[in-house]
Amino acid sequence: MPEQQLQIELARESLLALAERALFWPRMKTLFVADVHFGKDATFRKAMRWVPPGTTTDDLRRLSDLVSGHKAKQLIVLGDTFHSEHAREDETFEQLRNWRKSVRANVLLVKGNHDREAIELAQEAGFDWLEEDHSLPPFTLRHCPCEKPPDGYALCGHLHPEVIARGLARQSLRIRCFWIRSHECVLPAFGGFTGGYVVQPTTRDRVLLVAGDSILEASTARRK
Amino acid sequence: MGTPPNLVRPRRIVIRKSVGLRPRVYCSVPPSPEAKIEAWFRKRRWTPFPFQREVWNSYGAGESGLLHCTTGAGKTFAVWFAALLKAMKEQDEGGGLRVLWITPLRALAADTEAALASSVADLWPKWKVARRTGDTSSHLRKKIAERPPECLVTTPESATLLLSQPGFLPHFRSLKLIVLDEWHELLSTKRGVLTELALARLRTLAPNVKTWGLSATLGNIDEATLALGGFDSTGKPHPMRIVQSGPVKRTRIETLLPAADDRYPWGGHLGIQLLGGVTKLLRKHKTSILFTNTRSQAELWFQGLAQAMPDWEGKLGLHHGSLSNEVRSDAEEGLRTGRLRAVVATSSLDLGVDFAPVDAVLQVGSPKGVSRLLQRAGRSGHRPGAESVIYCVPANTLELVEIAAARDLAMAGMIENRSPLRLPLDVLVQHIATVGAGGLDENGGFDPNALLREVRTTFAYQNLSDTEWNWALDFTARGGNSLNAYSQFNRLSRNNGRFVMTDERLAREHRMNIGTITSDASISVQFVRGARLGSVEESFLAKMRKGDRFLFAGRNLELVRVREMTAYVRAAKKGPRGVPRWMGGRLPLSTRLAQGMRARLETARAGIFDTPEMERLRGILEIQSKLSIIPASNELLIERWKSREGHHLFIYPFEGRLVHEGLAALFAFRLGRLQPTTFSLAFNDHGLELLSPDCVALEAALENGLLDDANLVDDILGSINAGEMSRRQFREIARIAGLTHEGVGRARKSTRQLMISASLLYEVFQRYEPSNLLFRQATREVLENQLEQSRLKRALANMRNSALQIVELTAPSPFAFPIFVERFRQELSSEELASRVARMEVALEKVHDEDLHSAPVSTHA
Repeated sequence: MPEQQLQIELARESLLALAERALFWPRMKTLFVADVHFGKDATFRKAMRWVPPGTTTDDLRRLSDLVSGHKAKQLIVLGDTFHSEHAREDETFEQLRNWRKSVRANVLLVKGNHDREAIELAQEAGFDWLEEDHSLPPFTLRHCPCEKPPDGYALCGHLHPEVIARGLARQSLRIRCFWIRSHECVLPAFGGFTGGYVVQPTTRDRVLLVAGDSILEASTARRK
Repeated sequence: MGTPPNLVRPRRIVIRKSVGLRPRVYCSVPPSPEAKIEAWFRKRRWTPFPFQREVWNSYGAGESGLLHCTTGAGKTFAVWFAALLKAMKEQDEGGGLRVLWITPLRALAADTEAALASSVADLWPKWKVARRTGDTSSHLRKKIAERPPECLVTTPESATLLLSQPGFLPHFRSLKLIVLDEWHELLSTKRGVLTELALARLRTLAPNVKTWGLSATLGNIDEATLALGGFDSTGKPHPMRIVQSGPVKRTRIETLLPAADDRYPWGGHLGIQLLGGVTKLLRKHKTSILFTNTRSQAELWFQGLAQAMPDWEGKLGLHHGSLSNEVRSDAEEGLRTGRLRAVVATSSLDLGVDFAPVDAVLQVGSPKGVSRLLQRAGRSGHRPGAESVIYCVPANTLELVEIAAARDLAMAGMIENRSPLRLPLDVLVQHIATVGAGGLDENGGFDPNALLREVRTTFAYQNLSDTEWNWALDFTARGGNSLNAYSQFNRLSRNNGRFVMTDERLAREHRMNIGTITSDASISVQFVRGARLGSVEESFLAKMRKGDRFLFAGRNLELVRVREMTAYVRAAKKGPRGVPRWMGGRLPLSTRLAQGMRARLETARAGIFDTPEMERLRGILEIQSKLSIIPASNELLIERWKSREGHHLFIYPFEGRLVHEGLAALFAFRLGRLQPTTFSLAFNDHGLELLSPDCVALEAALENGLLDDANLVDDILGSINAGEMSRRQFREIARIAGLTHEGVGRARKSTRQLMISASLLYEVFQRYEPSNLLFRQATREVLENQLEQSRLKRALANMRNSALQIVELTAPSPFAFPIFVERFRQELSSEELASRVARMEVALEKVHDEDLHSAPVSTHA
């Protein structure tokens, strides 16, 4: 039976992996998402490539719903909150500022590679930045996955992870996932206007697939 | 220029005084231009053909037209000498652009330039010829832009590019003649539409310009003429003379038959099993071209031949559209001079290039169409009057039927139609941007009403509605339909009712996009230090890691690194593991040929095996009748088989690949409505396969109207949208309309921020702006151009009127096998995503240092 959330254990803490492509830590009432890419649509329009508006608005609404649905006190974005400085364009900036005012949670941002251009704009809109490798024991919050485990267990994003699932009758499907490794958990990209990157998990990893409104543990087979 | 010794200067009168006689007057006039041309022909022991004279006279009288005859029959000189003759008569000393010669292939452009340049040097040296294509160096481009030659040889894309350059536009005003070489090749493509729009633009700039098209034999010459000539402002077609003659080219079609005792494959497209026979054929001839249907196939055959004939090192060449200019030119030059004994090529060498030494043409795999077969055959004996020979090399057994059928049709002169496309809005959007970019100094931009009138003079947009026009203009200028909220989106600015692209950065970006009408996102392939080899598609490289080996440009390469848009490689020591595959490589069987094939099977059923191909097929057809049946033309064969993979349903309408693609999606959609499941769809030119994890209720579906006409349009639309067809079509549309810019050079930071896949864009449009006409065009194009809805309807009717023959298989039959092994598949699902995913598995990579015998980390906590 497909579920909308799965309880998982990371660094001996119990968390919920949500089909909305977010991670909730009930004990700390903290919600994690990664790679939202606010203003990506506006960035394209600024370069005169037409993309219909609406993705940023929807992402904000989904975030609000998550915060209120789980009564989260804190929302942490694990990098790439913004796509570029063009999140200032159109009405995107106003939307972000208004949303920040209205959301009933502390919002903290990890700096991602795309955020570099948006440091000031985020502050103007009322968002606060965390330092690199912010420690929230037992977790370390960062944007990029790393080869060597930092202190604590890392929660990160950046990759927009997807895996290829295969089935009978030669079916195959690219599907967004949580990639849970021994030293880190890579979250799927939250933004509605983001692509994905196929990762190759190993037999030591755990993969949670996000299929529409459901989340499920991947049945796995060892690669031949 | 000195005066030739045997001539006396004009107007020089010599009076000799002699007693008793009247003074004698010696008066000599120079030979007429006609006489000069006749002399030029005589010197080469040629005689002008009547059709050539007809074109000279017709153009001389100020007419436009279409010249329509077989390849290698002197079409080029018919039109070119018409232009020269007129120039000589009018003493046109040049000093500006006179003739624009548009050819569809870059390979052809080089050759044409050489042919035109040599004759102009002999006859009217005041004129110069130059070539401008994507391969032209920036130095030469600049020279041409500053002082254009009298005759410019170019491609549709490069001509369009010139139309987007404000500085070049005035040069077009002195144009007298536009020549469209190999018009049949452009006709049924978006490049053809691009050309129609360029022609309309040029006719506005030079109102008295004449148009001449050169075309190979076509089934629908009238439509081809209409599309070429266009209409005047009142909607009347421009008068066009059709010159249709030329010597009939004799073509011999032979088949390289697999030896009778060979276990010849039932499926596959490679055909490499006949390598031995092919090498024998190649050795027997002086110079050959071996045509393949796809670029990957060309790479593999080149490799195979190089290994099989080590003594031919340096005598084999490779030619396809993804290779760099240097590699291609080397092969072309090698063919011309006879340095190469054989060149493996794709359609990139299909057209008119005059490689006189070529005395044999081989075709690997079915040619899939009669006109293509004849066209390729024409590459040999490319001299007026010479016989063409083509050897067909079947890639699998059933292709023997196709070859036999192709010969039947070629002998009967039944050539396919190529229908010009109608109303592709993506090309229109691109064109509006082109005119906007070119309009900088022309009264400060274009007048939309004037441009609409101009666009409507083309065949493609004759029936363009005001709504569609306004939408396209608005979309190009200001993006989607939310006009006020996005005032910053401003691609074209408006100035006193005129539109212009003022942002030079956007104009540059647009110009780079013009050339991409034919190509997919590509990554340049280059040696770490040294030469550029060509380009492969991004999707191929995306799957590769550092150190992976692949075959490209006839070499074994190892990937060193990918930097920005370039893949750096070095020669690999070990053999390749992959060959790049390019999208859209597979050619569909023409309707004509599909029918011809059905007719051939019918005679085989009657026990008639009257050609070598059919005789060789007898064995496999006997196996087919043993395992299953050979359907009569009033029967529909359906085969069912259960394998380890799932439940297979094979259906054989024999209607060609395009229709089968549509039928497969339609059947999957209708069957999926009865029970939620997911189908993997495969199809070839003979039939289609629906593969599903569960057994489907075929009989129930048949009773429920699987083949019915009721709700057909809705069901087709549903199946297009549920499947992958419109998504795939959207890729091309997004690229042409400039929604995605792929491979736009040296990815700077700003371009990296703008990387987007067409499929992500498709999803965003689907959700947030489904009314966008470009988005809807994807579905429309699938319906009209790909599926040919009418053909699909007819196919269904045929199937309904046929007696059903359902056969349970114990193993794939010879008919089923080629579809069964087809790797290119699509999926169509009617299941909930979650329940579908729940039945699937993700493969995990083994971790090397772990104990192999321990169970993998349990994921079901």
